[in-house]
Amino acid sequence: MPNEQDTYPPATRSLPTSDALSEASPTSMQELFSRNPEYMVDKNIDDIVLHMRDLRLRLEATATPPRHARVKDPNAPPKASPRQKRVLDFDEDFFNS
Amino acid sequence: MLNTSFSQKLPTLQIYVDASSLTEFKICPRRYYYSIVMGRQPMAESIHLTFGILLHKAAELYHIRRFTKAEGHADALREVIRWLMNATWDREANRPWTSGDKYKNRFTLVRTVVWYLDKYQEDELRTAILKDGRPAVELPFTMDAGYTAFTGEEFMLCGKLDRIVTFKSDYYVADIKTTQSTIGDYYFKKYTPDNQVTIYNLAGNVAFELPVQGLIIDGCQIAIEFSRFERGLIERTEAQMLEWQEELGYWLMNMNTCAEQDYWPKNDSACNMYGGCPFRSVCSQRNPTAAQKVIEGAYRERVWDPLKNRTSFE
Repeated sequence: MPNEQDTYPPATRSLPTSDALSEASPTSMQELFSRNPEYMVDKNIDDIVLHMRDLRLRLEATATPPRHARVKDPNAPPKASPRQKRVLDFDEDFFNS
Repeated sequence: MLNTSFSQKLPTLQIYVDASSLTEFKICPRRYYYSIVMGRQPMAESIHLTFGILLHKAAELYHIRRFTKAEGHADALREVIRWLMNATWDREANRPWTSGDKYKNRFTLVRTVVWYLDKYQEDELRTAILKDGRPAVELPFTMDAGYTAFTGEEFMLCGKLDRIVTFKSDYYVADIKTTQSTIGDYYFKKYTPDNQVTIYNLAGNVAFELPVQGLIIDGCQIAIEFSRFERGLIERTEAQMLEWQEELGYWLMNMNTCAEQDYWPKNDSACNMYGGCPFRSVCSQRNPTAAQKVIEGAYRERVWDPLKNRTSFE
């Protein structure tokens, strides 16, 4: 089970694409990171910055605040305690098991 | 290779002591002996050290460009990323630097720098001006430790501050730290007491003659998919500073004694601390001859000279 902070937001969550990135149509991140930087021009560097900003925007759009930073909703209905004892309904619990 | 921080009279006695060296000695004299006196480190690169150095250097470059060249955020950031892409390119192999670490690697480094500098581009922390008019960025320092070695040489404290800043009309040393853990109040509590924070605070006051109140630490959490930043204020009282300086005498005296007797005892209570000692495989050998073979065969040379390489292990 991965640590919560390793998957924030979960890796499987689909991320929206920011408008800035789709409008700029930059060189792909993979290509930029595998290119020899000696041959990079200003636009390549700007594309890297753009990709990184897009990544942040997409994460912010989908992320939930970390557990310690969440504000409790005072109007939220109280959660049932998971340890609360259940009253057995003999007929249902016994015969449906 | 010559380590210029050591005594000219006794080669095992360090005279110019930085926070990293002193911390190593405080953790364990034997560990200090292997890492600082012998100048050995494990064959594998310390990704934490490399990542930290590159992040510090990137922030330093950014502040210099913004302050001394009056560049805007976009221009300064472009030059920083250009530098970073170059610094993380392995020219010999003609391929990107590969750290082998899923948290700290080339991609997360560039991402962290962009996000960090974007976040603090209009920072309320202002780079201070030194008495000679220079911006207080990239500040190597050397100052009298207040103690004399048995060789007659004066012990000196040395290191390098990233930046001195003003915040609400007070002076602080600004520093960046990286971690993989979530950063909360408890994260900043670990810096009081802390050897490096105290030395940096002292340097701001003594070496740069500014009334520094403490450190402002930007903690950078590096995770696989994101980087997150929190800022903490670490202060030191005059009483804390005085106590630390008195205790420094005890540690330097011990360092002095170990070098004089060439005797570096193990602190075997610290072997499992800080993620495990990198020299455990040496100390766990059955006899000194076997230990010597391991330290010479399985570790590479790395001269830690704080007068040349003024940065920290973190």
